[in-house]
Amino acid sequence: MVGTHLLDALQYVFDPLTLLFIVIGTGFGLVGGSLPGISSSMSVILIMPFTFSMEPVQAIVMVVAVYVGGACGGSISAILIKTPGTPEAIPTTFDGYPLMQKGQAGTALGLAVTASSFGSIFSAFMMMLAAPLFASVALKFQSAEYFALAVLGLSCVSSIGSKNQARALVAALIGLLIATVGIDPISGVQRFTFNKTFLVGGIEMIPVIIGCFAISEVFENIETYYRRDATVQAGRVSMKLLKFSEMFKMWVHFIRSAIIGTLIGILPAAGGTIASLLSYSVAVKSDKNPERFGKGAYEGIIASESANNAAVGGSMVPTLVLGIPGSGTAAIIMMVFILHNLRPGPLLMREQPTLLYALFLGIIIASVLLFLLGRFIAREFARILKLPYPMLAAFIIVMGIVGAYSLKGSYYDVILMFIFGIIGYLFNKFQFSIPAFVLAFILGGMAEKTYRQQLIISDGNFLGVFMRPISCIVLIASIIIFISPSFKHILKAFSKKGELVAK
Amino acid sequence: MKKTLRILALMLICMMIVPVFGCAKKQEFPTRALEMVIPFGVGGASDISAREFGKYLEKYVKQPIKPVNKGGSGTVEGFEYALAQPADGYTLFELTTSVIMKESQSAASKKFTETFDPLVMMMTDFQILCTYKGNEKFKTADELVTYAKANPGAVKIAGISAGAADDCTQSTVAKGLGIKWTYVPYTSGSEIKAAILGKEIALVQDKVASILPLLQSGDLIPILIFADNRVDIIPQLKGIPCISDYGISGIPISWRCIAVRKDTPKEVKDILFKACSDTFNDPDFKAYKEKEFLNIMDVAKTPEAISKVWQAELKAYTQFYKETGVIK
Repeated sequence: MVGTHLLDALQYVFDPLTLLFIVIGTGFGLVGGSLPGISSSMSVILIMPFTFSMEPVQAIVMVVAVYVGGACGGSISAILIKTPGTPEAIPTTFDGYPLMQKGQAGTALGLAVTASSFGSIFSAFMMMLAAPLFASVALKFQSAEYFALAVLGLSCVSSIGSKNQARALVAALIGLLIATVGIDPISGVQRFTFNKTFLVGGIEMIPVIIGCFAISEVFENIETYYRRDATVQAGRVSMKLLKFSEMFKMWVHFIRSAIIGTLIGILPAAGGTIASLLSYSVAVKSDKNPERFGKGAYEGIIASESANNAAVGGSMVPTLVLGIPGSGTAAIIMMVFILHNLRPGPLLMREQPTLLYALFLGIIIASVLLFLLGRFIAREFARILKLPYPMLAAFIIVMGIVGAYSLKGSYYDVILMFIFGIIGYLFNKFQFSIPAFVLAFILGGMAEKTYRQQLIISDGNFLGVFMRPISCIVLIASIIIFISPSFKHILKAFSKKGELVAK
Repeated sequence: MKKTLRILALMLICMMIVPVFGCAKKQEFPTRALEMVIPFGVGGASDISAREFGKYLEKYVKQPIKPVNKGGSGTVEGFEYALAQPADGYTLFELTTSVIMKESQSAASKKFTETFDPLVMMMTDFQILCTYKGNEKFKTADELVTYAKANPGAVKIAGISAGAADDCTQSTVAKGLGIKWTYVPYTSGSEIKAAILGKEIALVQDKVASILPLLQSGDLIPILIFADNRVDIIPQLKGIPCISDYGISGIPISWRCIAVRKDTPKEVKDILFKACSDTFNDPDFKAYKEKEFLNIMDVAKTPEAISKVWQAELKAYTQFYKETGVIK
């Protein structure tokens, strides 16, 4: 049975025309992903009209290739100009940009592509081997478990990025505060909107991240422009792959991040962005020298990119098995299914198993293509770095404006982007951690909403989140993670005291 | 020098007059592309249906339709944008019940129903109340009423966002059934489906096209149809009661309309109205709707009927917000 379906799928996918569509799709995704205004979901929307006249398998394989390309493409701009091209690539900037400043942009890009490719291939295998099983696991994740995951992500603010823990904590609290702006998710009342209609919908993630990362960096560079040679990276950037033995040393990071990415991708209320943030948090937390992160650690890029691409295969699992899209982009891919008269749901997999295999092959081919196309697109993208800095700065700002505006066609988002550019600049100046701020901003809303949902469901039991096994384990782990850095300090202080007394 | 200036000025005047004469020639409206303001972000269901309608409408107005997404502030930004455009018929406005809801909260600078006229109700949808397979407490609407009366507030029901359409619908239905349930707001339809399949909540309301695969597979069981008539043409919904069986009416239904500014010249409005109703009856557009079950509740076909629906929903929302204390 399985053999014949796989053979059928091979026949469909290795059709020359279908292969061509996969190449186009992957390339399109990579380019779209690398532009801040065009996220993976936007790329899929843009390519959707071209798929109407295709065969269903061709159409689906092509849009999935766009998704794979988009999830990887975000890293190109994240590394080269500190602007995450997609929200999934936020953690890639943490270590990717410092590497680029050190003149290792090629290595960073190579790592990002390798990790992306590995992540999506891993998740494709998981999807094919155990989709129904994973889908049932996904249903075990309800509001209590989502809350626990958000807390797990938040717990790493105590050691992310900045040396100054108190300031990192303050930055995280500001992030949490900003996440509360808009309509209260549970009671529906307006909070911190100051009677301004544009604040009612809350503050969007895209203008905040473009402002905090890209615009603040531009401000900072403008400040130091006359004092340093800004054309230092004007050399040709080409993607460099590490030796296999060097890669192999970091196998733990590749596999762990791919697992986290796949699992988070499966959850309907969390997509690639939360996957890469959580994976990065776990990578920092489990490392012996967490201080290395944020300064150009290879593992940071792997953690982020492997996870966000693994989320691609993961998010297709509930889409196919239950008809519940695992991410925003998966929701649009589901629309492509529907437009071809395929309605994802429990019955589809039984009736059309060939589709699953075709999808699997599509993801794998697109992942391999990332190496070829990624090398080319990254090189072309890197040409802009040869521009004199004032022009590059203008280019980054224009891209940022387009990115913030295209989200909803709202001028306010552009203003917000500049406001957060200034906030980010001040944060950098006074060493408040931007990663901690962004992490709290993204996860804060999720933590609040899910905790309050859980409160309603458990009839107001404040400890309800500890009553469910998965959430209880994750929460206890988060608490340990959170207090461990300060605990180490206390232990050190105690042992020093002991030594003094002994002397 | 003076001469040259005079000639230049003359040329300028001529250039300004030519287009005026062009207009005076009584060229049939429309002579250029139309804008369709979509008060939602790109890629959502409301955005896609508006674009789909626009695609067919192009055939009848013989001009391109440019979709303009203004998704800010829960439709308010899109409404304000459409309101600020000249009333020449070149700006169409897509709306859903959310716009009426915002009007009841006086969220925008002007009232929608006082400034816009309906052209067409492109499509309608209806929602179904479902529970999960193997729910031992209730399997039918009658059992639900009995159980909920015995255990007020114990049944958890999911909907999308707080204080919005789902919340209002459910509070109206609960009042009509004489029961109390606890509303749990979620952010998206996919979260809700995961919550009911994971048995976190017992009841969910969702649009038919979106939930049908789960009804077909038997994972969810339909209990009650949130519409005025039963829907026997869908096999899974055969024999399932609707709210009017319980004497409930006047709940906001799901629809998507196209509107144009009220002060648009009448002849322009007539042209637009004709084009819209031609599009509505276009066989390809009908086929698209049938596929998505967006045609079953099509009732309001004239502007008057559409206005009536708007007014009824405005009343329902105003009452709901008064009861919940959102407005005074």
